[in-house]
Amino acid sequence: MTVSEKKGFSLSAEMAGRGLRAPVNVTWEITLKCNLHCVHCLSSAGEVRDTELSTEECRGLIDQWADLKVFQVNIGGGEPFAREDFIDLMAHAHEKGLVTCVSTNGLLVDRSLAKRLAEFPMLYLQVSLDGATEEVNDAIRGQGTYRRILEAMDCLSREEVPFSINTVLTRRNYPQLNALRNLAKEYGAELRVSRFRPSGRGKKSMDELGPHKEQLEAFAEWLERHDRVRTGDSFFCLTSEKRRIKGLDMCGAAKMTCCVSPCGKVYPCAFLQEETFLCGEVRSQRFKEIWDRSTVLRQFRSLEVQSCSKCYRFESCRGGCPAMAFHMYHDISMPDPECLVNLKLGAGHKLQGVRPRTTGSGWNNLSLNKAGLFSPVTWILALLPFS
Amino acid sequence: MGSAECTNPCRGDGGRVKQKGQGNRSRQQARTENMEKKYKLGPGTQVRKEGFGLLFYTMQGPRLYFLSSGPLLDSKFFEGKRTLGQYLKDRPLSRSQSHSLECSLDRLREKGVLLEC
Repeated sequence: MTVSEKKGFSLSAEMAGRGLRAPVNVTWEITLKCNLHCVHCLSSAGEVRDTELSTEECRGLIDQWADLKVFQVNIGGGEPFAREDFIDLMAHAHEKGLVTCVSTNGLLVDRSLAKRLAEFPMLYLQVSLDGATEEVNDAIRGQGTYRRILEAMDCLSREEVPFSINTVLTRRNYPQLNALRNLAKEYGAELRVSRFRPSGRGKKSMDELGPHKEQLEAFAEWLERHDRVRTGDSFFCLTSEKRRIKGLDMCGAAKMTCCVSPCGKVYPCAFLQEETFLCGEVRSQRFKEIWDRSTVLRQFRSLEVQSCSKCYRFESCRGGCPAMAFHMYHDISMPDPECLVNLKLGAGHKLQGVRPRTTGSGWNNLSLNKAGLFSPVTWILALLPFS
Repeated sequence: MGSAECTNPCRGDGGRVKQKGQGNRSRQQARTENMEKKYKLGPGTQVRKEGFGLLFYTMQGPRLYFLSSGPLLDSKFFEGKRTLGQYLKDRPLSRSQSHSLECSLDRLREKGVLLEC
């Protein structure tokens, strides 16, 4: 038996597709409190909710994840640093062996906080910046934010805190990708580009900010030329074969990850925090019970986008992002409208004029995939980067 | 410990220039050396048991490594207390399974996921 990376990818998808004993990582929206009001915010963050998990509840949840050997917790919101107990919670997660990846808008980051963050070796930090100029960034994140984000990046850089700039790709900042890459380099940071999804306030701003078809196609080529730019799991439906080896080749929702809301509700992913996709609540159930028994998560693990099954890129994306399909068609079993094939066929372009829907169950035309047998004694090492 | 280049059983020649009649002996020697190895997790690496075998996570990347070893390997092996030979003593493996296991561990070592200790 040989070690095969390429073969390993499809096998890793199969292995993960059957459901792991615990998530590899959990997306945790730790608060909805935010000092900004970004027009594309996936969570419509702003005011803190009365029902958000208490410090003790948060600590208990971290303990449960540590017991399950969850490897990483991706923390966002809202603005995580707006929670007074956040640093203590983060330290508790690290003590328990959990790596954290924290997404911040940077406004609360000063020299003092940067000094403290430098003491956490198990922390990845992402600073959101949505343009390489004041004009483009501030139109999305708010007036004066560009300057303050750069000040935060300066503090982090001086204190040698490793971080990445996280940019949500929009039609406005697409022309600035090279400038953003240079900006990241200037601060000793990495650039991470995320996908615009029409959830939260993004539903309203999609028509104005969503990247054009031509931009997405050109972006796929740009990514191929800039292999050090990270994309998380955002663009697996767009990336070329050459870049595939560097990233996730499927939607990880319910298979490798899930999302916990500030109030302890569990969903398959952060972009599907809708009642239809509620998997359970950590206040009334153990997290493990939800992960193992939730009907929603089970259905997601078996989801197969039937109309994509004959596509030559099916093994590369398995139908793409169900959240995109849900928000555009209200049907998670529809193909991703912005996959490389649909863009070339023009399907994605037609969708530019389609407004995200707001009603319906989202489970229309669902087909289930029966997983094939997998021999446990074949020794194959599969490599799967996921950041 | 012998260097990995000399003991990689995945290479037909065991990492050496093969002389006529010496191939089998080199391979056998490589296998013997591999069975003497102990492994521990590399820096920033964690491992957990899954139905298919072992799932490794490393902060560098971060990356995941799926090792479809079924029930044969336990994460405790990577505490570095027992050699591979000692660990497999009560777990009878076919020659090809053993060979695959040695290759996989070596591959993980090359990737920095495991360290020899």
